[in-house]
Amino acid sequence: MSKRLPQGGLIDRNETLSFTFNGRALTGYAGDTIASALLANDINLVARSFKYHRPRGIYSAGPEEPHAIFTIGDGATHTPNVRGTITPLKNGMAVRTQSGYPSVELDIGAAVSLMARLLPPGFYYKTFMQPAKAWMTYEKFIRRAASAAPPPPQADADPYLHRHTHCDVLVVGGGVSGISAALAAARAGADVLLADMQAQFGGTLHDGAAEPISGMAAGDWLAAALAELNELPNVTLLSSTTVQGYHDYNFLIAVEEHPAANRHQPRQTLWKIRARQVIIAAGALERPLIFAGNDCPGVMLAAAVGSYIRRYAVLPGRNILFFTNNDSTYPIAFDAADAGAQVEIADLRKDNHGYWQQQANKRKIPVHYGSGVISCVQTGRHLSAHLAYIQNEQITPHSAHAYDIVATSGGWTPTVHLFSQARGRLKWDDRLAAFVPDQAAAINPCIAVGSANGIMDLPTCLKNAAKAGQEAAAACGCNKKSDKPLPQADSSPLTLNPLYIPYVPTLLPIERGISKHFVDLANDVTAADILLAAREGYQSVEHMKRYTAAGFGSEQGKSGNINALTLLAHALGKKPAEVGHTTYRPQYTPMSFGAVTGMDRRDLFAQKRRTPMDPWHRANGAVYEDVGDWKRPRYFSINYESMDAAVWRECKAARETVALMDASTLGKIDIQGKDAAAFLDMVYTNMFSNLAVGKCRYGLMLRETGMIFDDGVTARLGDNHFHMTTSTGHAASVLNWLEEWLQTEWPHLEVFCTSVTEQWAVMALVGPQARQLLSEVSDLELAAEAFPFMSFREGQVCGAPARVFRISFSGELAYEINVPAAYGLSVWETLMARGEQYGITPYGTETMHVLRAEKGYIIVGQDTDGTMIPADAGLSWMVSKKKKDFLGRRSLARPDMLRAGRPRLVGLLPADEQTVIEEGAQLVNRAGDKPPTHSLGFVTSSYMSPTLGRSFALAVVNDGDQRHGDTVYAAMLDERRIAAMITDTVFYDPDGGRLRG
Amino acid sequence: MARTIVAVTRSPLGERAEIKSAHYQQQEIAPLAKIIIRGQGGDETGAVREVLGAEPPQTPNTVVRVGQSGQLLWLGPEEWLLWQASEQREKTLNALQSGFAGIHAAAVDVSDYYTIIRVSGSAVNAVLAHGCPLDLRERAFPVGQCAQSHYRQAAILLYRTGTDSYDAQIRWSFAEYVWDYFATVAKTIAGD
Repeated sequence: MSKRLPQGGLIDRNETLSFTFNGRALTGYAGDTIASALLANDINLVARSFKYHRPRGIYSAGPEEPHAIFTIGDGATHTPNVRGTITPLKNGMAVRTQSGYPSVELDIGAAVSLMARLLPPGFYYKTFMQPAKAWMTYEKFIRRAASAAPPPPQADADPYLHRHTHCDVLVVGGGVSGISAALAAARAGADVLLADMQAQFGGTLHDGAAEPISGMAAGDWLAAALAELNELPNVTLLSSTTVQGYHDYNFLIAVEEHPAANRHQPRQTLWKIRARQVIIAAGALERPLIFAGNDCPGVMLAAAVGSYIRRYAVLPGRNILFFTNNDSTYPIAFDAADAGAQVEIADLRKDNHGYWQQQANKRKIPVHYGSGVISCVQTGRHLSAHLAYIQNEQITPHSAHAYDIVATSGGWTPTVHLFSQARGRLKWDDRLAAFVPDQAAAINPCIAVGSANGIMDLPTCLKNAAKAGQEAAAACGCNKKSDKPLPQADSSPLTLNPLYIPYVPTLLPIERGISKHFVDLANDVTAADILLAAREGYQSVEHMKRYTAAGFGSEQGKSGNINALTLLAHALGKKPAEVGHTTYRPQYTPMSFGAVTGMDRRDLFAQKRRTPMDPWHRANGAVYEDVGDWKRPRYFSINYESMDAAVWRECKAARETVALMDASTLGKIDIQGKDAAAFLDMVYTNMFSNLAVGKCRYGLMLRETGMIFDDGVTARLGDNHFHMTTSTGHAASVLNWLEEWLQTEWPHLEVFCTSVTEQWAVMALVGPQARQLLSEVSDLELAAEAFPFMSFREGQVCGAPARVFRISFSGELAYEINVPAAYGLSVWETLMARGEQYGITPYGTETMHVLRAEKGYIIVGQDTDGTMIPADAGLSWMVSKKKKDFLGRRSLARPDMLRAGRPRLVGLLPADEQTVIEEGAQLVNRAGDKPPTHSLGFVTSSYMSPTLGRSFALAVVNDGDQRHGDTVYAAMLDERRIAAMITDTVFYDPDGGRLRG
Repeated sequence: MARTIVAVTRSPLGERAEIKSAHYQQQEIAPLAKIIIRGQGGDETGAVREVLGAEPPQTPNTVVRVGQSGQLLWLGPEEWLLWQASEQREKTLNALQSGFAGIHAAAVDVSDYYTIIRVSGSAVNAVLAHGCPLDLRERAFPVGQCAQSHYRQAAILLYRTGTDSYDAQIRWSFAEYVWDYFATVAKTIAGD
């Protein structure tokens, strides 16, 4: 039977939406949430509970919902853990419950209830501790039992946007207080952003009767206020937008839900908001009363009943008992009566405020004063509630009736989440029995207004919020005067007046009997559990939370936490203020990974840096390697050959004919100034001031610790002008390092460092035929005596202006040709075309690694690891003895740097020439050594050498420089031990005749 | 023999087609000469005026006009960037370098380091705001000013040419990444 009222609500009855619920075809209206559409279709059983598998119904109409959590969509639109009370219904939506096996109606896990005594808090800690290995098995069982939804089977098909924005005043929450504040701030001229999580602004104005505002009916005032805000150019209105997190310096994160008519439109926008001032008008959350059987389907928050009637025109039941301790429930009960329900009120307070008593009398609504529900059980489709007079510990049962709905209200808790995330201090308010905002943190200028600030009457909310809006605008320098009156209302009869009790007693003591008082419905935590935790010594609110799991549900205890901590205070005989509250953390509601990820997916997942010659690489079989952010060709595969085959071919070409590599990624820094040479003398271990113009020198850089930081070749372009190169991965950190010293320690040095990394496309032309080929495409004089090793020349190469450095990282005759990046591809293509007759072969980083390792050239970060000084890498010869100082020099004299037995870089020749040792393999003294054993060191580089016709490696070995000729054993992952002899690090052309030739 | 070889130049986004929709346009502009000028607000001011007819701006993020079509952009307290027509590159560079002889200043050619993507249209601010944390409101970022920031993972220099138009200078190596990111975001905003 439909529970939809014939008229009213914010729904659009002209637009019918079809959807399915566990496969059953149903309809709702545009404007419905999933939950309101289910209730309208008389469906209330939506979940089985976390621990006891008890049937559960729709409990709320907001983000505090513990039960109505669904999976929607299939395949690429599959979305688990959707909160039905805040998710708009969409046409064609497939909604499924995600707890209960085989179904929510029949759940075999409910047998657990019979063993409830055996499942105290901490059950999982106490039971599943041992053996540790079995945890993976336990975890599967617990996941199933806890109704955690399966993850989506496919990648999300929908796009998600991000949006950075800046404003003067961010107003969080578009209820009466938020709108009042936004109006005041906007009229003063501030840039205002007003966000509300609901599809419509207006907040609780939509949930119940409200007094007139500024002399207008509340609805008319709302429409007029929104129209004015809409018209103001300095106001941005964001509905369906939840402000999720409040971070330091007023940086807030919000998620906007889009209607998403089709798959190409974004599903959500993640807003990153910098606000100069924040006004928190987030409202308040209703708190339930804790009574026996308060989890039965049909028990709801009282205000939720009001929301369903007013917003969605759904009357959740024909026969409703309102069980309350405060005034706010009365107008809702009257709404329910007006909508046609049989209504009764049980009020814990002995005598009530005159106004509401009169109103109830006038409507002939029975009110049981001083009464509470001492037990509630489900019988068929109804709830059987027992009422009793409750006075102190005295319980006098007086009646029992069947109801469709028991609606409960234990007062209201200000939504202090954002204020607390902003490191604002909270204070306990006895009148509200809740924590309320106290002092904002200085770094996060914000103020809470309205019910979020514990103000529960309309006139004060309007007045205070408007004042806050004006002050926030003024703090941003916006003081425009407006002749429009600020919103106001006459004094309100609604004063709340809650009577707080920690829980509603039953005839038996709370920890006896089978009935349960649930405190946290999401995680099945009962009042008895909290009392037990207190007795077992979990007296800190944070310990109690972790022991019982109260507040750990995906709704983060929005309705239940306050009861958990006041109950703990009760058990400890303390005041709630002394017990305190748990930490409020972002996010306010669960956020999708899609919103976080935004567009950082597929091809845009990470930046891929490309060199000027990259189009050629892509078209010619390059297999890429990630080097930092760069995509560098690792090797060029011809006809699908393997990497080993390609590297063999490329190495042969470099050693025997001519080969070409793209070295554009090397870091390059232009260094100018009259102190440039003196500066380089300080940052390198070796001398640069004596380098002649036109010459290059290999340099080694240390940190202050004396550890190797980077290396590279630097050329002297002029007396006061150098061109420094760095390793690819260190381009940015070396420039930062140079700037740090120039700016902080040596500001007197006249030196400017400018990155020119990408100004130049760089090609290494390598091999015995390199000179011949270059001579055919260049105007440079290339004879060895005219252009010797470690010098550079400027001229034309392949028609482009070039700087050519005669340096070699391969050990062969080589030229590093630098041309402005725009010429890079053209020059590369010409070299490839003209070199064809010599068998020119492009090569990648893998071949580069083999060639340089054959020569014993290190790669900083591969053969060194941040703990090695020059001597460890065999580079003592690089450390100037003449210079008075350089960075790291003092550290090299520390005792540990001078001790014998330090790890040293060595060569390794495996006894089996065809076996390539794994890089990273640990080295041990004997073949039979098994872990745990003493490691002598490890392998840093290891390759098959086509030139040597055998495998070889570089390694770091304790005292290695003294152990040449010894045999050590490399421990492979497959348990093999590979015998290898320690050697010198130079395997090829030790005299350097080839590179100088 | 070498002299017979003709080298051709290309730009990093030469293969990407211009994007032109009602609300958003994106194109790589013809290469400009780009020269970094360094100095400490001393003698280089006069030397720069001598060569360019304009002094380096001292107010952060401001830009001064140089000749008919050039701009001199403030990048940092000791750093400026000159944009000029590419054919002026060599002449300007040489003139600056000789003007800087003997003073603490530097002029460095970075013409090929970067490329410039011109973006415009009513959606342009939303496209930029997806990945760039700058305050793009005109009172914070007036037309005619520049600012350095990032767009997702890439460094970016924005020069605002109008309420809804910018020149975005990015590194060569990041050009495809930024181009594709802009284009994908613009498409998503437009919903097609």
